[in-house]
Amino acid sequence: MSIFLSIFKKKIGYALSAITSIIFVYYGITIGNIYGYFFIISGLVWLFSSIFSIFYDTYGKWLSPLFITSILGMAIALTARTYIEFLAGWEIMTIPAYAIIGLNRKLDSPAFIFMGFGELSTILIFAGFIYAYTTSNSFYFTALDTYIPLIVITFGFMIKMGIFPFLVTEWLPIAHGNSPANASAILSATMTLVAAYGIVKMMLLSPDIPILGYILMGIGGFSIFFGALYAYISEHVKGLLAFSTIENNGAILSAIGVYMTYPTKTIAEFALDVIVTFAFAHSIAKTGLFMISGTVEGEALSKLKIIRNKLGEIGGILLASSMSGLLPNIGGVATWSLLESLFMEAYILHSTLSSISIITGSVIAMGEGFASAAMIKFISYTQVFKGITGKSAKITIFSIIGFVILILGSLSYLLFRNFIYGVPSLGIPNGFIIISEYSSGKIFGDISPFYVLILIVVFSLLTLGIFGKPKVRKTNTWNNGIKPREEYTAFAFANNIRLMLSKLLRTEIKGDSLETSTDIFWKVMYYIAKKYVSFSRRLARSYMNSSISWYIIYMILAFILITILVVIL
Amino acid sequence: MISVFLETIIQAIGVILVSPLYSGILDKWKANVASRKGQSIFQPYFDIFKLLKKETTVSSNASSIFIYTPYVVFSTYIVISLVIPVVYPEPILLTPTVDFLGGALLFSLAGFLKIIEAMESGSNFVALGSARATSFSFLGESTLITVFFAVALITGTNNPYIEHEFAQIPQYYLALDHILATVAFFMLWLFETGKLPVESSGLAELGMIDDALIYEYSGKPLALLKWGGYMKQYLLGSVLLNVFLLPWGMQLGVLGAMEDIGIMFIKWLFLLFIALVIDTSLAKLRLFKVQDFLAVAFVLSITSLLLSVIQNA
Amino acid sequence: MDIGSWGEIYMNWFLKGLKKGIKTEKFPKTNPIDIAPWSTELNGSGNVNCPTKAIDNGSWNSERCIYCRRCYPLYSPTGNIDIFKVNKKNNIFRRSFYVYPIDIGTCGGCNLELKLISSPQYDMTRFGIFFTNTPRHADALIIMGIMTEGMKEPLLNAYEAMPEPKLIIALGVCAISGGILGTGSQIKPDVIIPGCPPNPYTILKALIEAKGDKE
Repeated sequence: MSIFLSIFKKKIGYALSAITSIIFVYYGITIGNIYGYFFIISGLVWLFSSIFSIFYDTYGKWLSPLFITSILGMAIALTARTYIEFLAGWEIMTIPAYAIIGLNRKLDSPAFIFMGFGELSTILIFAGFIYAYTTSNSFYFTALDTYIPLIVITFGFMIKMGIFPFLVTEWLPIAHGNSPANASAILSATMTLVAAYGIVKMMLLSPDIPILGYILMGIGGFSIFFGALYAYISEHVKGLLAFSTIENNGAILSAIGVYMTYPTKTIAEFALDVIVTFAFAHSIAKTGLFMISGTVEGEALSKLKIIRNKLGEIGGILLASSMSGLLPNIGGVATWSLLESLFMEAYILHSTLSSISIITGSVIAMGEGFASAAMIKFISYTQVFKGITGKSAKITIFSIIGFVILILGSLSYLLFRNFIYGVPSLGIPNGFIIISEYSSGKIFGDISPFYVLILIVVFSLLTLGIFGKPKVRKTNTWNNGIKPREEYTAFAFANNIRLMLSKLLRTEIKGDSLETSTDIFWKVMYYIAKKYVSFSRRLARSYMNSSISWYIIYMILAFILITILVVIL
Repeated sequence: MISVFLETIIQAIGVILVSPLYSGILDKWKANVASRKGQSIFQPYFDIFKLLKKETTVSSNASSIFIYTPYVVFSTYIVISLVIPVVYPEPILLTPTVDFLGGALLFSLAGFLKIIEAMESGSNFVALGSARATSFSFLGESTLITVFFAVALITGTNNPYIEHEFAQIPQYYLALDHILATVAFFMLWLFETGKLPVESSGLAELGMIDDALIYEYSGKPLALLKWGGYMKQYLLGSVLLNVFLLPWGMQLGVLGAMEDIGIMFIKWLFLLFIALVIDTSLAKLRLFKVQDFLAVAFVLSITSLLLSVIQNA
Repeated sequence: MDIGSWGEIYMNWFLKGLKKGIKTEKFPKTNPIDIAPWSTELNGSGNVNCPTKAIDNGSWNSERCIYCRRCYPLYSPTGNIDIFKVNKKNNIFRRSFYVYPIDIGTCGGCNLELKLISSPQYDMTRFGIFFTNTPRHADALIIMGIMTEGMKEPLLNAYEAMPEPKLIIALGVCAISGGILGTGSQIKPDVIIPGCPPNPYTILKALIEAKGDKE
């Protein structure tokens, strides 16, 4: 795995990493099983972000080597064949990310929070691997008999993916929001992808456990809802995107949950395809969106200076529509298939248990609504609303990604290999419809992204031909006649939800008009954390230490000790 | 093959040409209840034709995306009109493009594009209205999706044409979950087409929700957006009628397709009458109460979903 | 919504409306029902001290008269409501005519009379005339009132924001010639509707002719 590069010359380093990413993509295509898709996705993400970084990096010598080392870690983790390789890759991936976040602003707390939760997840994964080693007596990834490692490891990976209820200490948005745009791209897109990959790998090697599947479905559904809600009310450019990452990870988790409950073989296969589609849709679109956040100056959505460009706008709209789950992009295919699989399961089971999938499905539908709202807000205020026109190479890159997303939507047939169909008598030849079946032969629903795209394009041109181009005259904006002194800001854009859901968001009015929103979960966890801190502070008297970071290390040591004891016993 | 092709054309053209008529009829009846003689029932057509002849003024903030996206929105509605049983009760050409859920996603696509292109103008009033529209869209979209699934869970498929046939069976029609889903969908229809008690399209621009999205448009794009709005009203209302409320009476065959336009007309008069009574009896809800209205619709549709799987084992 | 008021008002307006029936006049096909005399053409002879110089050697200038009645009984109203002038009209508005009223400095009288033509008795909507709240959707700009400093810029903005083809309508003597207090609107009007305030019948007839209908 010759991914190690010369890291002291910034641009050359990025270019080399771009080339090796292409090699990685090729490797993924040739593998052929489900893991190959993950490689393809990661390779594409790294390719795009490396090219973007060539134009973007103005941060100093440290960003480039850390960026590349982190990619190295992820690659090792993805291609690992033994537990130890995986853990090594995992750590190599996390530590440079920690450094990037810490060095970006010289702020300590986001980096510490990131490290703390990262280590927590590593502990759980480590413990799970140890258990797996004891039952299967080998270091390699092989089929296992019990499902306990799966449970422990899943929770470990879930923390890394930032899932509810851990999401709301906001470690993910704080961490991802405080790093430069290209690093955020690889963090959000691929680090969480490695976590999903880990769960999928363990899941395919362990026996079935439906209860865990239902729990995951529920947790995933609520993550979607809350992630999207917090994305909508967020004021921080990168924070909004980080919450959106949480939401998409929740969707992947729900799909994993559907697979685990294993209603029928067909639905389970469908669920696997859903996981891959969502991974594709999310990672690539998120990379593009983070690049958009890299082209604007400033971090608060209400006070941005933006550069407008028509190509950039179209690219931005395409990316946003994919993240909102709209056709004919791949995001729409992903959303459609997830909802179909959940409701198919409800139909098959036809018992009280199916109410879990129904509730999850409804909550996901609400979450998708918020996701589109958040994306509208994001794109409007970073690309569309006001600004000076200009060109830049960065804009060209993410608009390319936008078109890639559109094309991927049409190519999504490749991901659903067993579910292709056609109705030639009605004008759609074989091979162009993706159907959802719940047992062989019984079709639940169908979709055809390629045809949607073609039809919309054809009809638009037809309309243009029939009605003709309009005569245009440019004037000022109509603001009831007076000069616009004030602007309807992004903060105001989401105010309706802040006020309508005030019980959920704990909106308060401070002073004249300031409002803050905090989460209930954060309050609860903060309360627990404070209690623990005061307890440990009392305990500190007898340890003569006064720095908090030592306590984290103590916790880690204690945990490792306990697991070793368990193994020995 | 030819007959399917003709039926397709009749359905698409029927939807495009006939949809403004229903809005005109409703406005005329509203004027009559208000003791006025009122405008002609063809008034929406006259409005559209006049707008096609006017020039388009755009704000200096907008680019050509602002001008050309209404064409894309209009074409999305045409695509939707091919996949739902709005005129013809059997699948026609290009119907399997999307199923019901895909249709709901296409409606969301049209709404999404409308909001983004409206924000292009850079006007504050438009931003105001868009903010309101997006803050209710989460409940609106989710209700649309869950209501479609409510029917899907009974029939075992998401194909709208099979659901249309299924709804004609009496014991299914009177089942509690079907009634709840119908009520939920009716409330959603009131919201999506901008009727009272959710929105009043009067002269007070600070109260507008949907009107804001067309506020900065003029000329040909405005005509297309208005026409798209009429088509959306027709499509959603036809789904309500054909799958939920009055699924009977649709004919087959090419001649039947033309008769179907007439049969839909009669069914629509019934729906318009209900809309008229509600419109002239209630006042506009306060903005935040709209969320309660939509939340009730959403909860009804979820209840209908739960009932359909639990009681029907 | 609390249950009590629901029970009371439910369907009340709807049933009341049905009971009342349609109350629209048949004007302009038939003669107007009741005309307020002091908004119609004045006729007479003699010298009077008209405050706005509307009376000049026996001829009455409709564009300057504010109906202060100082010239009564030498000059008295005739009941003729056709005192408007249409200099330019456009046929494409025959069936659909959207107007944007802008008040640049009125006493409120013209606004009231203008609003009245949407009431059931006069009902402008049966001719396809509608009010709109943004100049981008409008075909005609109805200017009311004298030109005030603060409204100079909004008026120009509104004019710029309207798409071609468009009409400018000056409603009331203040907008035409400044009335007694000031100067008229800066933009040259295509349709002039005098009166202080103008008769709703006059306004309706002027709008019908401006949009190209011949009645």
